[in-house]
Amino acid sequence: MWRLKSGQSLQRHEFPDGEESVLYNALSGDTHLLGAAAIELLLCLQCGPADDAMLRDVLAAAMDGERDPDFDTQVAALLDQLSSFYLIESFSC
Amino acid sequence: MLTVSALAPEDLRRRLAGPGIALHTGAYQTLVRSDIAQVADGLGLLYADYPLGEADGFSDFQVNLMHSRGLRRWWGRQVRFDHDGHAPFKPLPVEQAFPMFEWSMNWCVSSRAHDCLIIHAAVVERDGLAAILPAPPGSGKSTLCAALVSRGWRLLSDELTMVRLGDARIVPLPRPISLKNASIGVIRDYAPDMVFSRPVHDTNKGTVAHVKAPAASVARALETARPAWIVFPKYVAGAAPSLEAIPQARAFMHVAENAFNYSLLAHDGFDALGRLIGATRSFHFRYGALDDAMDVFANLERPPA
Amino acid sequence: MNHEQQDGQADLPPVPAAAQLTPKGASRRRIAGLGVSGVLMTVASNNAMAALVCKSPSGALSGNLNSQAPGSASCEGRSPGYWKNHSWPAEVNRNDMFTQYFPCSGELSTLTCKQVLTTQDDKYNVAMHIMATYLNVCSGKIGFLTRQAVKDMWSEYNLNRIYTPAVGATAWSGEELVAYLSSTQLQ
Repeated sequence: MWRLKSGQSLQRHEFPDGEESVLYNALSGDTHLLGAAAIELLLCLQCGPADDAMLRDVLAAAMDGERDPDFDTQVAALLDQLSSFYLIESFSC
Repeated sequence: MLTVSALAPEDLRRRLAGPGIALHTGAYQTLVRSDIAQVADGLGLLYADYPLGEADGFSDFQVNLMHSRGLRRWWGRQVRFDHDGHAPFKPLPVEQAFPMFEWSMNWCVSSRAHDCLIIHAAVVERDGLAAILPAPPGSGKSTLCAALVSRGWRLLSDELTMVRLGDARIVPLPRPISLKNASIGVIRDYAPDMVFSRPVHDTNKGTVAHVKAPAASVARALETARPAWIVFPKYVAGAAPSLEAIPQARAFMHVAENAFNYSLLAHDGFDALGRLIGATRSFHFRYGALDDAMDVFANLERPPA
Repeated sequence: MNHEQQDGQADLPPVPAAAQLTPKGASRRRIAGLGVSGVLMTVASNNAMAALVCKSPSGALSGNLNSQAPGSASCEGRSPGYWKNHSWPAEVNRNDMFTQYFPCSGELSTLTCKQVLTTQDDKYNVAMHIMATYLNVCSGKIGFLTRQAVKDMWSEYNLNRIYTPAVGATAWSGEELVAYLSSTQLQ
């Protein structure tokens, strides 16, 4: 299961000229440039915890065109990356 | 208000060596004390138009540049900077006293003035709109800034773009423009009417000279400006001019990397920069001739009112 | 922490072709492909703060002025762990009470300066880092803070559990204050 790291408020700026956003990491003080998939995952988790399958479904629904054969691996890598920045964390129920 | 030019050179030197002078640069007042002729001369030449406050009144910063006592005396005379009794840097040869004064003034603002997001960039204004020029050293930012100023753009700052928290307006800090090495000759040719300090050699940056800010820019030092463009310049000899739009989210990151106190300001820095980026359009700008650059800047698209 | 720092746009993936923008509040966002869609770049807070407090970006602004402290830059602060094991500047004795420099109450007020370096006073170890920072200033390892500035940081934090770095700035929590103080220490 995944959830937003406690303390993250997802303070973010979106801009009308593109799909990338910038996000302020409240825990580290870092600022991240995020692509659309990362934003989608974070917004989903802002609504509540979710497991890998739910998150894959959310991303798949948002994607244009066909799923890449490595889709599941890519999602896992993205989740790990977000976790490495202390934006999200995994937990067991 | 009394300006530096109202003081005769001997009077200026005497006051600097004694109680100091309270120099107004934009919204800041700095109490400057120095027993060094080069500092007095530089102030008299390049700060002639700047207002003076009361030396015993409140100052935002206190900058002392004095002959250095101590072990190094036998190597030649040196100048030491301290502010508020605290000396963060090693002394330099006394010939470098005026550049050291300029560097020390920058240091005071960039390390203390956290009511603004401070970007390492030049900023100029025309017809109510400001263009911010962030750039690492060697990209030609100061040369471009000096050229624009010589062609009628108002100088808000050569090094420190102050973005006010809250409304993202640019707060001026017009001070001498610093030029290095070959760019000194370039601007002497391009703008023969500009007033230059005597070049100082063998600094860490090579040969350095400072150009006096136009009186009109100094006179408007309390007038904030609306930011419209962020232009990352790159001088490439012989290159045709090219302006390439940068997506705003990416521009945000590039500016954050060039800001002194972006992280120190935490959420406020993030918000202020978001406001700035939202209000502006950003570009990479490559050019090989100053006249080309003047044309491109004159034709930058104005944002909606 | 895994921070990716990238200088310049050459290291970033190409900007995605303008995706269909969804109206605010709509749940769907179009994504072209995951590979270019993660965390693309980070401006790390530690490095930016170091650039602020120690020298200008690329050292350009202050002409690469060199710090006063003999043989070292004014940006070589040390951690609490370092100060446990190395000699202290003459003006601070290990057995002095912490409260002598940093007025406080409760358990902290019973500790010596040396003990504070290994005591977790709250979740973030503010006192420990304040002590290390004070030693960094007294020894000249960092040159951009004064002794009084460190004392002021402590007194505000001790009273209010926040620290306001500048007029108008958002106050820092203990965690943020420690993050700042840690950024002034060599890792």
